[in-house]
Amino acid sequence: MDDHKPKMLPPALIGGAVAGVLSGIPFLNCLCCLWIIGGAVLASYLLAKDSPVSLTSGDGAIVGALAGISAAVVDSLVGIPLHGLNVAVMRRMMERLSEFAEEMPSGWETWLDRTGGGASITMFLIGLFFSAAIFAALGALGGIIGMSLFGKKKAQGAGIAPQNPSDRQP
Amino acid sequence: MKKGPNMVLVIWLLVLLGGFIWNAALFAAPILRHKAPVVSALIYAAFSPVCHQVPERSLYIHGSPLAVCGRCLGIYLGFSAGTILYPFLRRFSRPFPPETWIFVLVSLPIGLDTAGSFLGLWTSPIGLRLAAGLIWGSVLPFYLITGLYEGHRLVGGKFRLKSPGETK
Repeated sequence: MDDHKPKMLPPALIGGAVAGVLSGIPFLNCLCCLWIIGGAVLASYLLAKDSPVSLTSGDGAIVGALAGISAAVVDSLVGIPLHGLNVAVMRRMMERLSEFAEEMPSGWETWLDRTGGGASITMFLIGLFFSAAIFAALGALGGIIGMSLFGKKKAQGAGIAPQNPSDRQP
Repeated sequence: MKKGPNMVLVIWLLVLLGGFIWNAALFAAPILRHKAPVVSALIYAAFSPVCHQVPERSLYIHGSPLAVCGRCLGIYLGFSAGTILYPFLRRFSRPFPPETWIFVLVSLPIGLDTAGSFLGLWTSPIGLRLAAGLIWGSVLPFYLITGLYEGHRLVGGKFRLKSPGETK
């Protein structure tokens, strides 16, 4: 790793926290995966801001993936107190869906009641694992986009040259 | 001199395969709803963290909504379309991200549509959301392939696959 490059964890945690909170709150989560990508772009921006040297898309992918993982953790934690509200929203959605769909899966009301009673630790961890994997992929994408937007540094005298030859676009 | 596989080609194939599986899952959820309800429910649950899955904002197959909303579907289908187009536009030489103005241009439709809907200024039809997502999604693989390639180089290229322009 380059000594000039700043640490990735702080910007990843900040970007992930912002994305996780926004994607975990009902109504605000209507922006779907865009919050995660946006949070990773923010992480890339924060990383590039503190870096004296140009950063590569690879740096963006790593900081974005870390931001995605932290977003999954924050999203899950935010979801705990909002669990009841989420179930209520889900119930409303399912009821609305039943107006559109020909046939609803059997036992969905029972499933919602069971879910409303509180998820088990195992289910929580399995959900967190899947969220982390998906959020990491989306975060990596956001981090790469962010780095392409903010990662380039103008060479200031000798010693700080663009590090990524791929940034020299035709 | 022994030549290894082109790393960009390998990454492109993986991205293409990943996109195909991802999109297949979106359509499999409603199709399997009656044939394999547990698998279908798992797919819906897997996509729930990344999409609100509001039924009236989703497209339907066999009377059931897809696993994601119209806008997300557009993004993911656009992603696969962009991946298919990638070799024709960039070949498998060393990848680089699109220029900023291209990203701004393709982000305008989805940005305006999302902002307007979010602020309650208008409710756009699913077709428009899908189209805006398609346009935006089509540019994403150009970023992802670049990032994965650079990330592979950053980590050290442990698999020692040949990179474009690498002479050995």
